[in-house]
Amino acid sequence: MNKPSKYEILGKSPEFETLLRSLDIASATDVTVILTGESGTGKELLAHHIHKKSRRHDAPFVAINCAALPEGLAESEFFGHIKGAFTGAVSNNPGRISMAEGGTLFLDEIGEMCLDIQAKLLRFLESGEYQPVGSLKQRHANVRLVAATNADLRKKVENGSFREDLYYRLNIIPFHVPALRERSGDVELLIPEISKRLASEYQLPAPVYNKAAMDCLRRYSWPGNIRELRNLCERMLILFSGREIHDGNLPREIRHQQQSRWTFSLPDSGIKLDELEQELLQQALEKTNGNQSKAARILGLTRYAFMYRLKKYQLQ
Amino acid sequence: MEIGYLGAFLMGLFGALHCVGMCGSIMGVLTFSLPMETRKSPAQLMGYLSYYSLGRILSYTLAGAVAGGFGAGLLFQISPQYGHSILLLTATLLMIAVGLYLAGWFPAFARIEKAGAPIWKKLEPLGRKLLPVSSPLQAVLYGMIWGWLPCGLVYSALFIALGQGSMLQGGVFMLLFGLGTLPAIMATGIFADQILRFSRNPQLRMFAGVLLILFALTGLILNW
Repeated sequence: MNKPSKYEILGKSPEFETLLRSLDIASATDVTVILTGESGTGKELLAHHIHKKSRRHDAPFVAINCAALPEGLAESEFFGHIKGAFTGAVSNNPGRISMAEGGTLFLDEIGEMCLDIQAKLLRFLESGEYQPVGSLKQRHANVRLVAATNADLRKKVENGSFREDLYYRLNIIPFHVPALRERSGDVELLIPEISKRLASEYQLPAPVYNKAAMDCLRRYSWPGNIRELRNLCERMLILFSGREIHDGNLPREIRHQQQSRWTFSLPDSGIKLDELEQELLQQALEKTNGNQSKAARILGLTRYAFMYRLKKYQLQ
Repeated sequence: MEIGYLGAFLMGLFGALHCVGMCGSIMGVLTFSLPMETRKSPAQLMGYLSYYSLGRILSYTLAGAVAGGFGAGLLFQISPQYGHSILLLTATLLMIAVGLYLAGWFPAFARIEKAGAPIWKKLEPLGRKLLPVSSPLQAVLYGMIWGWLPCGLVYSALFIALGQGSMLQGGVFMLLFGLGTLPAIMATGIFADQILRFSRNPQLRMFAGVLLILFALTGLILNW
C-alpha cells in the first residue's frame, strides 16, 4: 500500500472543491497567488498543490515562514549572503530565493514580514532581481511566488505595518481558504481518514467515533481548523486506540461548546437587546485586540455577520 | 411573465454575485497571465476579456440548445398538458433554491456542482494546454472550456432551459443567462479586489436572492 503523502489534500465539500478547481487553473499560469484564511486551514498544503500542478513541479518548492524569521537574519535568509558579509558569515549562503530557482517560493504569514524586507521583496517581484547581503552584484531569479496570510493585510496597510505597493502587487488574485466549519461535510470525512492515517503511523488500531461523538464534533466550531482536528485525532488515538469514542470522551472544550453556558438571567426591569449586542461586540474586539476574525469566532458568528453588526451599530 | 428570457438574464445578473467568488478569481488569473503589453493596452485587455466570455457564453448556449431539444422531447413524452406544469414547477423551485443559496440560507445547494465534476475532470487538462493564453482564438477556446466549470447556478439555468420547448429557445435562454453574467464577470477582470469585496456583502447577496425568489414566485403564479 502506498504511504499517503504529507502533502495530500483531503476534503470533498463543495466549498473546498470549488477552491481547488480555481487553484488548478491558477497553477497552469505563473501568476502570483495569495491565499488568505484562518490559521490551520492548510494554506501551505494548497501552496504545494499549486506547485505540484504547475509546469514548475520538477523544480524546488521552498517555503519560508515570515513570522519565524529573526529580523536581523531575514534579509540573508531571503536573498543570501556572501562569505564575510557580516560577523558569522563564514561561508556563502545562496538564500531561499536562489534555492527556489525555477520553482515556487512560498511565503507564509507574509503579513508579519518586516518593512525593510518588504521593500526588497517588492523590487524582486517587479524586476526578478535581488542583491545578496555583502554583494555588489545583482542576481536574477526565475521564481513563482505564492504567499499566504491569516491577517487582514488591508488593515496592516492602514496602520502602516505593510507596504501599500506590495499589498497591491500581491493581492492581484486572492484565494480565500474556507475555515473547517465552513466546509460542509468535511469534518465527518476528515476524522476517520486522519485517524486511519495516524493509526498506521503509530501502528495502533484506530478508534471509532460513535454517532453522538461525531454529532458533537460536527457542531464544534474548530477555531484551530484542520490543525486542531488533527491534534484531536492524535490525542484520541493515543487514549482510545481500538475502542469506541463516545461524546463524553471528547475534550471538555468541545463538549462544553455544545452545552448552554449561559448564566445570564433577564432582570425584571428588562434590557435593551441592541445595547447588549453592542457591548458584546465591543468586548469581543477588546479581548482579541481588534482582530475581527477572532472576535467573530468567539461570538459564534461568521466574519461577515460580525462585520454586518459592526456596521449596523457604527462601531467600525 | 414566465421564467423566460428576462428570468434567464436576471438569474445570470444576480446569480453572478455568487460566481464572483470562484469565476472572479479565475478571471483574475486569466487577466494577469496575459502578456504585459496586452494588459497595458485597455483596448487589447477588454478584447481578451470579451473573448473569454464569448467562449464561455458559447458553451452555455450550446448546452442550452441541447437541453432545450432534449426537454422538448421529454415534454412530448410526459404529455404536453402536464409536462409544462411539472417543468414550470421544477424551474420555479430551482430558481427559489438559487435565491436561497445566494442569500446564504441554503449553502447545501452547492452540492449540485458535484454533478458536473466528471466532465470537468476531462476538460480541465485540455484547458491547461491553452494557458497562458496568447491569441484571441486561444482565449475563446479557453472560455469555451471554462463554460463547463461545475457551477450550481449554470446547472439550475440549464434545467430551466429544459422546459423552454425547443433547441432554439433553450439556446436563447442560456445565451441570455450568459449575457446576464457579463457585468459581474467582466468587471471582476478589471477591478478584481473591489468586486470581490462587493460581492461578499451579505446584504447585497440577500437582496439579490430575495429578488430572484420573488421573480420565480411571480412567474409561477402568473403561469400556473
